[in-house]
Amino acid sequence: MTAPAPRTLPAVGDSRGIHFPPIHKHTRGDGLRVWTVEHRGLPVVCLSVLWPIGSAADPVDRFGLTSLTADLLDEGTRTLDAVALHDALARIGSHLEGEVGPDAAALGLVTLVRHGARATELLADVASHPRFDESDFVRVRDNRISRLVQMRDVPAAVAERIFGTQLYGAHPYGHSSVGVERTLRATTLDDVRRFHAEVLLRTTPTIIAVGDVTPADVIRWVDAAWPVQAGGFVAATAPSVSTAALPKGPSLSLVQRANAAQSELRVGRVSAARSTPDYAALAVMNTILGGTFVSRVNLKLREQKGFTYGVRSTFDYRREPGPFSVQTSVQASATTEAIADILTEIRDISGARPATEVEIAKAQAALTRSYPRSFETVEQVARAVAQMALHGLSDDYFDNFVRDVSRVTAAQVSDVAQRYVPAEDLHVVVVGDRSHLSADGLGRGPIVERSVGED
Amino acid sequence: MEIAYTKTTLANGLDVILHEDHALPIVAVNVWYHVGSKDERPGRTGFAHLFEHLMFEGSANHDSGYFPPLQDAGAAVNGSTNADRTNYWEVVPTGALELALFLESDRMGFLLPALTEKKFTTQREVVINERRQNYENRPYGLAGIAMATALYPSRHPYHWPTIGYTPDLRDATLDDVRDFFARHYHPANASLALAGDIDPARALALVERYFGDLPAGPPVPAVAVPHDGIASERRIVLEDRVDRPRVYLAWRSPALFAEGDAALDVVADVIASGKTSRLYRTLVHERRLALDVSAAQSSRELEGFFQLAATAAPGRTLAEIEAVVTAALAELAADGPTDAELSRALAQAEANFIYRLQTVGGFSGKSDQLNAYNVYRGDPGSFDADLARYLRLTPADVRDAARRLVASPHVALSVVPTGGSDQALAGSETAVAS
Repeated sequence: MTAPAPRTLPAVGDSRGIHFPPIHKHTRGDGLRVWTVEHRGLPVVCLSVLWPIGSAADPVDRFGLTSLTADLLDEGTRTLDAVALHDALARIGSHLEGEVGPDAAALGLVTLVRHGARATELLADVASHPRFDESDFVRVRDNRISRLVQMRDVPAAVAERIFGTQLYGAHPYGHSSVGVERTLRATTLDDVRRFHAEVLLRTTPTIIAVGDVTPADVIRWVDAAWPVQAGGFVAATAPSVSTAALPKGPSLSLVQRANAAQSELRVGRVSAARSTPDYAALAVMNTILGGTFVSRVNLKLREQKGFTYGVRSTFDYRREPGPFSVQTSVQASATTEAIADILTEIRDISGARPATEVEIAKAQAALTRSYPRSFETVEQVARAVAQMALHGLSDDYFDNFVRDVSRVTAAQVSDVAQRYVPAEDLHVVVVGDRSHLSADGLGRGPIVERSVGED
Repeated sequence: MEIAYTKTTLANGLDVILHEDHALPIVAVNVWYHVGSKDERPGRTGFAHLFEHLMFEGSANHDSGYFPPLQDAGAAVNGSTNADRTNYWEVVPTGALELALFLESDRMGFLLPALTEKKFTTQREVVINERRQNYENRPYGLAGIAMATALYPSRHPYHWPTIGYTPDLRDATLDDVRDFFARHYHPANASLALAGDIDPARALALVERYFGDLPAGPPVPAVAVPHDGIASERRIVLEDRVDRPRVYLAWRSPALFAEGDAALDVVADVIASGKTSRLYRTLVHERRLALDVSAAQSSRELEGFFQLAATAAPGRTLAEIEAVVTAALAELAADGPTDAELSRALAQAEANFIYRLQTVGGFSGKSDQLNAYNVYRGDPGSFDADLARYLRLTPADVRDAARRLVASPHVALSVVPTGGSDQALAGSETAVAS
């Protein structure tokens, strides 16, 4: 029989640290890269291909082209129609996941190791020899347009779209990767074919494999399946558009939604790039401000006031400066007060109520102690490796993160808050009923009504 | 793919399941309370889910929020509620196991002394806002509530939504929720699973230390289920802020692990899951009547429900979709799946069983699965038995499950744009969704 415990909060004991596993890097004669991480335990492997080219490279009259092309890849290949392709994937317990962001496009799957060679073959076939049938193209494009129309009824989607244009204007980050109705209607199958052949297929791909495999296995699979690029692959050319021409904040935008039960809110600005030297300090600052359940904004709006189911802040780190945003949905009657509270919390962290030593120590502990659970599944490790490949992070980057976070000081937290999220510049977007919004006292200027229609 | 574990039942009835996995220095702590919205009564709905909020607000020996100490310790923390059960979990660094056990035991044994009117009213507002965000202010968000209302008679434990009715939440008193806690939240109605970087002997001693002296609590009576089904097909319509009409067809179906449950998963797979499915090919790919189509057998403890949904493409009607769906189901019920369809579905099922073993904690990680098998089957090690249900299916089993399904009456719900009730299936009455 064990004696009952004293009922007091136990101290947290030490846990062993972990190291990010080694990445085996192989570059083929044509420049194609194969990066392998051995992750043992279960007989599974995650295989993906990453191209460092994303929706930011979409031509201005063809917003959505990269994403639409990626979406069409799994409609079949020269030798397998769509049904045969998906049947083949299902038979190896797999399905394709495509993802297109502003800076990159990726295609990947998880399968059982015994199907690794077949999975690589299917991945290579889909990437290199898509069928691109006219009828599939029309259906997929029209479905995307229908979805965009449907998204007008989703407050969070409307808020994201307006927030993007409000922050970035004509900058390549100003449109979402799915595009808009006008540009999708203008897009033809020839546009897709040309983009695929002349841009995507010529850009250096990185094949990332994580699982119960050896680098030799993976290289053999890739060599057998991936077409060699005559003349070699070329590096992606990132769009170079100055951030000097970005719309100036502050602003207050409203999309009217009569009698909405809640108002969807976004508060933020263009902020930090992935390459920022302040990454660790920003992580600590954001943890305190809005990155966790116990953050200042969530405690204020959810736990003290009960205005919302939740509120959080995030930095979306990209190749060029990405958005900082506070995101929430609040009960309609609390709209103006909630915006004022969010602005106050952002202002105060670099001013009246700087982060305390206790808050900083807690944020550092949360960030460093939670680190090991980010690398449990093959997909999680593959995502981390993709970050390294895309942003050129060093192999010891994730191991150094713990050390860098531990060194962040109070002065750095105030400093990055001031420089990256100055409250006076922030844009505010509201999707809700205007009767609950007042510009008075928010310091954002007058309410500007916006709409998402045929644009 | 057997998972090595031990199961011990403490003197107070708490089941304790331990599984070692030393891949990373983390431990998953997972508690299931065998209480869900099925254990509520009409007029007092939403309590099980409301507790999922109150359980993080403090207990007698730690009377402040549960998130701060756990997040400082580097934990991931969450919980969820459905009709059948509530789960609470943490994934902590190895050195924070005792902290997590203390907190879980303290809210199991000592929540009520710390439960104040203020915490109760604040979290009630949070829940009402959760309801607005996820149901009322979301396109098609009230469809599930409308469907359950029509599918189950008013006294059936699955009739009301887990999130609860807003007037019930407003009417709830502190005494009501205290009473609900006393009935359902105690060791004899709970199951605790630890998975990860543990030494089982030391872990069990810690569990005994923190949970061993909690009183067992009263026996929980089984929930009474009225056996009246829906008498005949019903058609209902709900207007919503949506652009495209969508039709939902739902049948009451076998319970989790009951005869026909696994076969209906295969029916869903063959008929409407993914691009190889029959209805994706006809409705979306070839005839372009629908933007999307999906189907699922929702396996639940008292009984399941099988639901199929499709959204009309521009210029197409729900009646056209319904005709194609009805014909496809009739065909499957007559002829069953092909051998190729069945073997493909089973290959996916087998792979998914393995993928789910990648995480020790969180929703559907190993600790959650051990608890699910323990609570629903009394045997945490049911992984192989569960998979075997699928691997032994024959085309005739799947055909028969489809046949029994379509022979029973169903509810057809049309969700249409505001003012567009003419876009609903003919003869639909107004749905109740509150």
